[in-house]
Amino acid sequence: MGLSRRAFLAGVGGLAAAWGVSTQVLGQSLAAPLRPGDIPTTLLQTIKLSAQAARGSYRILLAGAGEEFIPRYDLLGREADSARTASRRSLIYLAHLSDIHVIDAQTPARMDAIQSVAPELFTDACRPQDTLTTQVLASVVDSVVDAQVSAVTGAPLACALSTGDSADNLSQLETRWYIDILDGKEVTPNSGDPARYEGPQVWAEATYAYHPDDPSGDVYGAYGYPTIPGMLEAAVTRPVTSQGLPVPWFAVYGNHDATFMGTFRPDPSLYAWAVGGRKAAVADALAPTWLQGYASDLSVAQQAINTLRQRLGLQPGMRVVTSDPQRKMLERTEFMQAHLESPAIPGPVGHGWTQSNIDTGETWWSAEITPFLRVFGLDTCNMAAGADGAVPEDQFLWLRDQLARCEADGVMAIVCSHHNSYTLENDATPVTGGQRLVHAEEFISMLLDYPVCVAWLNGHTHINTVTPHRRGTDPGGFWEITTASCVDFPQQQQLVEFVDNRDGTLSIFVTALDHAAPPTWTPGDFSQVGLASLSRELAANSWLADPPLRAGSPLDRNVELLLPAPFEFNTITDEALETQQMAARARLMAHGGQS
Amino acid sequence: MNRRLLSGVALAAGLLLTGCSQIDALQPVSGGPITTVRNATYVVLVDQQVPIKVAPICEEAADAFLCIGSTLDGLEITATAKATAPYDLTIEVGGEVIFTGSAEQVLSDALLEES
Repeated sequence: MGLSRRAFLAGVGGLAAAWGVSTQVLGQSLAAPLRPGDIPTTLLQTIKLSAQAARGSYRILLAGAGEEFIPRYDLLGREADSARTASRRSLIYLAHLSDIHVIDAQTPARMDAIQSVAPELFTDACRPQDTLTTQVLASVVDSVVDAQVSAVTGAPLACALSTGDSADNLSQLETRWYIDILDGKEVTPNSGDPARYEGPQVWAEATYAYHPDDPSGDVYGAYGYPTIPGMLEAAVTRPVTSQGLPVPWFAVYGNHDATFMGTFRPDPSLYAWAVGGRKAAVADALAPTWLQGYASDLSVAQQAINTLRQRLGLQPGMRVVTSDPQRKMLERTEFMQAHLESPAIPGPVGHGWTQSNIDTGETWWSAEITPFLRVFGLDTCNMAAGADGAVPEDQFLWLRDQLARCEADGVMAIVCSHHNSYTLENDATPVTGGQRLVHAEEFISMLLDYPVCVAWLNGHTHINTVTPHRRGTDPGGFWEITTASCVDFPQQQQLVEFVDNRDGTLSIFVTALDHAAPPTWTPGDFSQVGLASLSRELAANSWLADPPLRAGSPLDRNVELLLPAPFEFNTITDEALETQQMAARARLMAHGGQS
Repeated sequence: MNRRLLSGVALAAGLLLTGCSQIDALQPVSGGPITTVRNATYVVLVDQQVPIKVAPICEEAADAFLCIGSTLDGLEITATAKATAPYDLTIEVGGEVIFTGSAEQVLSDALLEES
């Protein structure tokens, strides 16, 4: 049974006052039943490479047919009852973002030139689209706003969960830009010289990089990448505006938010390099100097000499660039602190982290999204070395305790981390020792002990992937849902909705979400959405990044993931759901939506 | 040894000196060959409208990949592939071969506009 008329009116009055919207308009809107909409997602339209190459091997992108939901029964062990579509109700509808990778492409701390040494090993050191990440993120925000009403049930979007690698390289600027875009502020994604781009994409000797002004002398030109004069200037000098996410959003650490290049333990010599005025143009400038300076077992004198040479730019292959103190690299807690420096709307302030995290140094958190759903944000980064991760034992024990509480309280749980089960094997520990690291098998086994844990959201591999984890031979378990990135093709994120089928089963609908920029870039379009569209096209042609693999399969994109209900869902009343959805709809209306 | 190669050697040595002996950990985050085989298998199964109950789970053997799943009507799905590019793939459902070809080609074709 749903809300009584009296409860409805009281709710409308309270929400109208809270969000500063008209009681009458809000009341009329909320009185209308939830209706699924034809929202612009990959259900309606996908993005494909053109069959014919435009130049050399280079292809443009085109709109393709939509992809319907495919039901997956791996955890149910049988086909689902077709009658479920008539009676189901939404428990929560949310957005899953990951691997945003906002990049300050001009920072001296970015080791672009390393790509020339081993292109297949360092595919992310210098991408053609590196200067366009803020435009893409703003376009992601647009797509989430467009998808604020569920295509399955019409339920309003309740929150967004971002599973790490939000910044690319510990940078204060990158972190601020990403937070501000999700919060709805304007940024100008430039550093150093305010009037022009300085970096390998205009340096002739950097033949490993794409030079949009004239690619004839680089590897990308040989592939067929186009000449796009003016792209770099437009990318870094024009402000990027954002309407902001319409819902509260939460974030966890990724390895690129915690370590240098997402791999190395941060070192004080790197901090000076980031704010200095010299940047390596070719690999020769990197290997014999910086890396030796970074090595821990050189003599103090040799380290000092190396540091001096590095700071003075005496090694060959260095270029002078405009220094910028804003390129400062963040210390461990400063990343969390940056999230606390954000407005109450969309909120929450801290985006998962609180002052308590700053005080204790604990980098993980929990949040009660609704009275019947808790989210747990882990930090699986390895601060010793390596891109992959693990679960430190203190977090493992904390999460186990939290899941036991969820079980006792009859509350569903979602676990968020950056690393996924395929990349949770990093066993590197500091030479000074450290706590035990829990790896994938043990972690999955623990999650399976708690049926209330129905989903594990993560990223890291930049590949759409859905993985079932079954509890023994009986039906049941949880779904691991890994989304692609905003930087590599397909530049897709996800919508995730948890639906009670009222037949003892739960469906988790996952929808791949392209960002809102047009599939096909119009040459010369340097508008904000134009640059976002161009970014996707450049990424789609990056043979180093293996775009066909990263798109995932149809079983990883638009899917209905079924599993037995973790508990009797009749403990969640219709009245409670309606109250929750009214609040969410009022928030969306205040943001400017139509819900 | 040319200068570039020297740089590469020095770079690798530098990485070792950092205390990180996990050169493997430096590899770009990606799925690798087993994901190529997995994804291609799924593309083929969906394309051929195989009624999947358990999507094949892939494991790596000595020089090959083996993926095993099942259909809603109880047939076994198996996919086998060589462990070297372009990952020649064979998919069987209930013992009947439904596909042979390159896993890489399957994924590349899936990304192209429909002709």
